[in-house]
Amino acid sequence: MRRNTWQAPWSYREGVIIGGGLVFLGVVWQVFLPSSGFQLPFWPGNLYMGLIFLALLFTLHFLLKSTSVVKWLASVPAAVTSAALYCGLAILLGIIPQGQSSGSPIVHVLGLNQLTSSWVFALANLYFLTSLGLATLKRLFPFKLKNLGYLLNHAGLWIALTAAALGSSDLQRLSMNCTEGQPEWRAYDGSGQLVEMPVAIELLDFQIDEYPPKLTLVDNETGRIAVPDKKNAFFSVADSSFQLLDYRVEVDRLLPEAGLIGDRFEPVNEVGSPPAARLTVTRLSTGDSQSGWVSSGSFRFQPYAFKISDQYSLVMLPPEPRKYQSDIRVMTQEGQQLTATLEVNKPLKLGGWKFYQLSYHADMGKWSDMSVIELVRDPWIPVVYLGIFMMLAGSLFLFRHGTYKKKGLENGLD
Amino acid sequence: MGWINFEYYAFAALLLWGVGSVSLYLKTDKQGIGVRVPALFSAAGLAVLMLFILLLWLKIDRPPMRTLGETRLWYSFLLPAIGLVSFLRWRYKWLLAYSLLMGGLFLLINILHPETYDKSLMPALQSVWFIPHVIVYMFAYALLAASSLVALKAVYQDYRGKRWNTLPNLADNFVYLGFSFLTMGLLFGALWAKEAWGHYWTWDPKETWAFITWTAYLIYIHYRYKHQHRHKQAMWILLIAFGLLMVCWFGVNYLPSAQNSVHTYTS
Repeated sequence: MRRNTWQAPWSYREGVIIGGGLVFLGVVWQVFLPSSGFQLPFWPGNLYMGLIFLALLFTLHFLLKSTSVVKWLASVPAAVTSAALYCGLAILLGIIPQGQSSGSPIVHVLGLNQLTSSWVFALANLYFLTSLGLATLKRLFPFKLKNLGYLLNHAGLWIALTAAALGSSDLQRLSMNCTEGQPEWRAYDGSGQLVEMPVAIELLDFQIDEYPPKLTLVDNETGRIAVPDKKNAFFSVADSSFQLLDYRVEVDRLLPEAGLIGDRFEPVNEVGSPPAARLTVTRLSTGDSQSGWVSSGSFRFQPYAFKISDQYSLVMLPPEPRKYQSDIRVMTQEGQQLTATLEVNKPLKLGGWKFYQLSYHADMGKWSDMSVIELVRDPWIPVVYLGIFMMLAGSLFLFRHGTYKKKGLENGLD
Repeated sequence: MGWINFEYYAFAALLLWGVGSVSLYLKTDKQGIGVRVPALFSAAGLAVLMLFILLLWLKIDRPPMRTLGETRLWYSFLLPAIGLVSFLRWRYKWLLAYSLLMGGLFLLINILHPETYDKSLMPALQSVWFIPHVIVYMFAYALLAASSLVALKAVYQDYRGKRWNTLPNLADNFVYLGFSFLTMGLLFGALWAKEAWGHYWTWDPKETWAFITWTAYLIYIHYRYKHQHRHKQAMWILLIAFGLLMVCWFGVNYLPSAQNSVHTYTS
């Protein structure tokens, strides 16, 4: 028995048509509306939007439950088609570079290089969240314990996605360049706009802990790494002795901060003094051996290579950071003070803001006296995390049901 | 030692797995031997590989989960491990054979094209989230690979006009577990990103492709629930989903959109 399109119960065909309609509508709005995409209101406008959306879902569920549209929105075909639309847009997002101007006028006009703020994306989101929300409500009332896994997964996803979408307009991410000894209160947002902060940050000390530098063999003519075997092309000076092609390399002496005096290096204590090492190189096939210096150089000094033959030279790479941290003092307008240490992966929480160690003056490396601190304010994050933790709990149900699939079908999914 | 002696360990594992695969299909009268011999050889291969992973971990003094080659190493351990457990549980010979073959293939790729660059662990990766995030993901990838081996087998059996009606249920077992791990990996990643980069989701290309992969398996699970008898379409969805997963794992490195991603393994 064949069903006509739009004849109840609706299925995939309607889903595809509705999805296509939303894409068409999104493109038309994108091209003809004056603003370049969808702009969410700030707090509390976004909160009202969320409440209206929620009220709308409740109304649809409780008053119009028996209509074929609402029945269909809460069904698998709507879930599959809306997820497929979302997935398709994400594929575009994953292929087209975002946030940069594009040579192609089509990409520009359709907003494909700023897809997450385009109308199409907003409408796809709305379609997905409507379907997901109604499916959740269908299982929520009346509540049954056996639906717990289902509800954690579905409600968790709905809460996380809705809060993330609505909260995106309230999210503030600023960066502040702090120089040692100078209190700073001016921060900049992503588009370079100045924002004056109610707190000032003074960088007391910036420190970098570095890995031992690495050595490699380069071709004198091309300047490229001469070792074709990718897994053994670099050795840390800490791993002496080691073999590069036909040469055995031994580190005789390692100076963490050194200066070139004549044709040798000596320890010095000066800003910008690079590491240097004295090496003994033995050619294995002939047994010939020679010694010489290498240095990675720094922002003040040239690198120093050890030419071991007409063909090859040994070079030292600049050391990579193992850890970097900023000791800071935070001062509020009321005169309160607080000192703290910021490190990557260890942010500081203060008055609704989170402070992150972002970067430093990379050219100057460990002599940098400037530290870039990121300031993030995201008031919606507790709601997003509620959703995330619900999903994590829900994934355990799915895990359990994986081994008892039939039961999983009854309990876990719709 | 680091990666220097990798070949010896890899060849030992390959040899043991090879013998194990062959012994799977030897005729024997005793039921016990037909199971125990291949299981022992596969387990011995896994033990060799685990030994290598542990020694590597000790040597480089950081979790070996940073480079593409290192993730492949875990994969070539976990996929045969899953194959072995399913063989002991359900006695699927072909699944163990294929998972050994796939694991062996990834070992060979690592021998021929190491991509292991002795890398230092950049500060952003020094986090308690690093190990759970990667292990959970590799486990999910291995389970989902097992599910796509099942789907491939189903499509092939269908093409030859043979029966394959038990296969979709087997695929579901792998997908449910794999999707559970995939979800955890994705969410661990989000929680970690908030601590390291200040935001839990930035549509970084790797995040975007992880989301695409997740949605694709989401579609499969829902489709299977609704249409328990449209097996053929479901198996094709599963194969497409695995294709997207491969883009997420390897392909992202080659996309123009991913030049600044923290996940490219090479930067």
